Amino acid sequence: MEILKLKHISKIYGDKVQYSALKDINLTIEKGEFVGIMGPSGSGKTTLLNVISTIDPPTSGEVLINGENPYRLESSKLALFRRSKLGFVFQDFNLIDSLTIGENIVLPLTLDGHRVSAMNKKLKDTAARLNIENIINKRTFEVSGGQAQRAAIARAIIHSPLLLLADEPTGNLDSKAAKDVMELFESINRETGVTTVMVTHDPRSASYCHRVIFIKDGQFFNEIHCGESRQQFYQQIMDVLSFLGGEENDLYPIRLK
Amino acid sequence: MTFTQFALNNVRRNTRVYLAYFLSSVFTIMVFFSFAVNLFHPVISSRSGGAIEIIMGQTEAAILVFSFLFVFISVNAFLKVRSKEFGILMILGMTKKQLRKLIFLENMMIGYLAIVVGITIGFIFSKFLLMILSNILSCESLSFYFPYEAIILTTVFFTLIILGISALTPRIIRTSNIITLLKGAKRPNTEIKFSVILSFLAVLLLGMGYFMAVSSHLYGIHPFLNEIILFIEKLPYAEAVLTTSVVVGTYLFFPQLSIFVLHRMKKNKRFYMKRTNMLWISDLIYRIRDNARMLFLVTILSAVAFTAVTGVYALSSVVKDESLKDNPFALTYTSYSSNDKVKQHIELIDKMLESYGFKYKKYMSEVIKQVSGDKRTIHIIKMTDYNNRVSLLGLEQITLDKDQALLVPVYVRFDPKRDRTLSQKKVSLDNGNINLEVVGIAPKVIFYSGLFQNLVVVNDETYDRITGIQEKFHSYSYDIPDWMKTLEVTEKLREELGVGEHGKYFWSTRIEGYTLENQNKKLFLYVGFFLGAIFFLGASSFLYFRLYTDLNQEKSKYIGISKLGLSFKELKKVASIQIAVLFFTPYILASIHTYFAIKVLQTVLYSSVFKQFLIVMAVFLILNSIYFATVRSRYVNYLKRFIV
Repeated sequence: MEILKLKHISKIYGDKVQYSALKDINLTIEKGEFVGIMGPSGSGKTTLLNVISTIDPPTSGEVLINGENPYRLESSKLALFRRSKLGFVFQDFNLIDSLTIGENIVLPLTLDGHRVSAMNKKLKDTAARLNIENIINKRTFEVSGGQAQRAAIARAIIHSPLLLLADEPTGNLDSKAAKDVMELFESINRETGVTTVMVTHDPRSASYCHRVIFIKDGQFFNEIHCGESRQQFYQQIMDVLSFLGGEENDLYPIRLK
Repeated sequence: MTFTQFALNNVRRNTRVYLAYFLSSVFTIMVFFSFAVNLFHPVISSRSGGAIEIIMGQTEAAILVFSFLFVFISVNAFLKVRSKEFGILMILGMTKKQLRKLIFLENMMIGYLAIVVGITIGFIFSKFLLMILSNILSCESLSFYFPYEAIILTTVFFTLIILGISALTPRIIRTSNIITLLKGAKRPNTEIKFSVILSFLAVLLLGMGYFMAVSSHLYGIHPFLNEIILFIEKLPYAEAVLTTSVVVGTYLFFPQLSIFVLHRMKKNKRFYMKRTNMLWISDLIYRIRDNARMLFLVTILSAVAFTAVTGVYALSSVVKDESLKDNPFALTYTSYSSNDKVKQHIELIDKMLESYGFKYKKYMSEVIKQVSGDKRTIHIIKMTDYNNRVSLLGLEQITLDKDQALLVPVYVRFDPKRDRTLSQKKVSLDNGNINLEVVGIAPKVIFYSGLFQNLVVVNDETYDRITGIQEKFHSYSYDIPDWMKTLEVTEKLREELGVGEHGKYFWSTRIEGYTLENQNKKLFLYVGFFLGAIFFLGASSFLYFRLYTDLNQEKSKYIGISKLGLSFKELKKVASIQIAVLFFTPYILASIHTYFAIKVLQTVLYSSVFKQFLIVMAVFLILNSIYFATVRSRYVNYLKRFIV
């Protein structure tokens, strides 16, 4: 079943001086898939994620999430759509400082007006799954980056979304914490079957995906699937990246005569 | 966690962010409430319908408008700082309605706490204000009372303000653009645009407003100018047009004219490239652009504060002068010819004054009232009476021929060129039987302001020849050197003589006018200083809020430049110039506004108030400089900690 379908997505910024951030992107993601989006800086990967996240309408083309175009909804319906169908994880966690970790996690349920007893039960289950029960009464500035990101993931999945969207979730973490977070993404994807789309520039993080899509200059460039071994997949990703990167630098030896 | 708990947690755990907002709300509520306590005081409200109630009521209204602005601006700054938080909430699926509800709940919690605290402090403060007020009104000391009306008024108004603000929230936070919200309060430094046309319009509007303010002083310089001035004076709602053009001109000044000026500086490469000039000029352009609306508000608030204080100070310091000019004599009794008790009354006044031990000198004048064929009233006094009377006022004695006449102004402020009666060249009496040539105009009022309009002095012989007599008045004017002490005797005389009798006699004293004016003007002084103080404080704290919010962004910029080799001394200079411009541009502009506002006031006053204007401006300059010095040193010291 298709969870996400992008049809001929283009995005142009600017009025006088126009700049094409995305050019005719087509993408289909099936239920339960774990997809990574990669590309050099300025390639449009974050713009693409924002378009999928329903916060940046495309200039042309159509976004279908579970068969529905969220940009056709009026603003309060769109908010309800985000609240029930989507989960977000950000590079800088974006936890709210005035709330405890636990309160941050239940925030989507609070906005949806759930009963307190139901919230507490879900909080307990989710925290146990993510192994953060011991910090739910702490404040955001009392926990480490890895713990904060775990809390953010808990917030993103507590309402069992259809689609989990992550923007450089390991960008602010050290390699150990990054590994933990990626393993968590993988296990959540495996156990709950939540469709996950993640933007990253870290090939090691990307190697946890089932499939990695590469974009360059706002256009679809390549896509590779994970085969038998993660190590081999990592190598493949590195190969594509070095090819992409080589062109980006514009440092052809032949020019440096 | 329910939604309400969520809002409560935000307020409870975010004290540092909320504190500035909370304190400014408390301050506003305290001011509003304590003034309301004055307004609703039983003694004051029992004098309803009088000048006092009107003045106090209007002041309260001004404070209310100020409160709304002040709270709105603090809330605005406070919400802008939190834009990232709102971005997160929106992306988590918060609806606009929920956001509005959240802001409303938070504001309600802070607002009601601020109301409780503000009213409590206001209780103490209002006691102090009541003391001042009872002193001014020189009435029995205004007792403390339980001000339930003031409490209700304060609560209702501030609830409305909170409601209004939560209704405006979605406009303050652009909820539609989540991406910008998530990036936080940082504004991109896009290219500065200004328009030559709008800059020109700013100059034009300010010039027009200023010209309108001084127009009446310029009359008579040139005939063409006179036409323009007359046109302006006939304009409907001239005051509103004047105020609007100055306000709009000021509004355009900051984003247009000041940028235009800085832009010219930038074009002058020899100046621009010299040492640190480039740093502060290029940065200042952005700061002014970003803070244009705030600078506009500060200018207008300062102008109101300066004008209020100068105005009331000027009024109160000239009050004695004005009543002396208004009433050249301490007491004047005027009798109609049909009054048979005149002798009795004058004897009573003489006896009364003597019994109180006053020395006095009496001047009697006879005045004929004549109505000409074209229904114009003319009053005539003979030369001997005039000379007798003006000997006290320090005017020259005059000699008139049989066919000559001297005109006397009826109001203290008169304009010989534009006054219809004073500009006549010939006077004819007895329906053209006596024709006189005007030889001059007396420089002063010789009875009291408003009595005997179209008064003409004629030769004694000519006076005796007059046949058309509508009425013959006898006016007794007393000069009492100790007039300041005559209030008691006046009250005694009022018991006997009353206010007068229609068609028989009327009388007035200088001390009564003086006392009434003095009380009103002291009240003005109180209200004016009060308003001036809170407006000035408000304006200053806007600047402070702004500098405080910008500090983080500034910090990283200065750290960057200091790494390039900018010495601390140079950095201090750059920061000081910028802060000085932000502090003193509104001051200078506001003082120019005030100067012209005082010019308008000058048209209703007899004495010059320029000296008072200079004093008030000097005091505010000192206050502003102290404030600038404090903020600057704190600012620079803060930056010093981060500089390499």
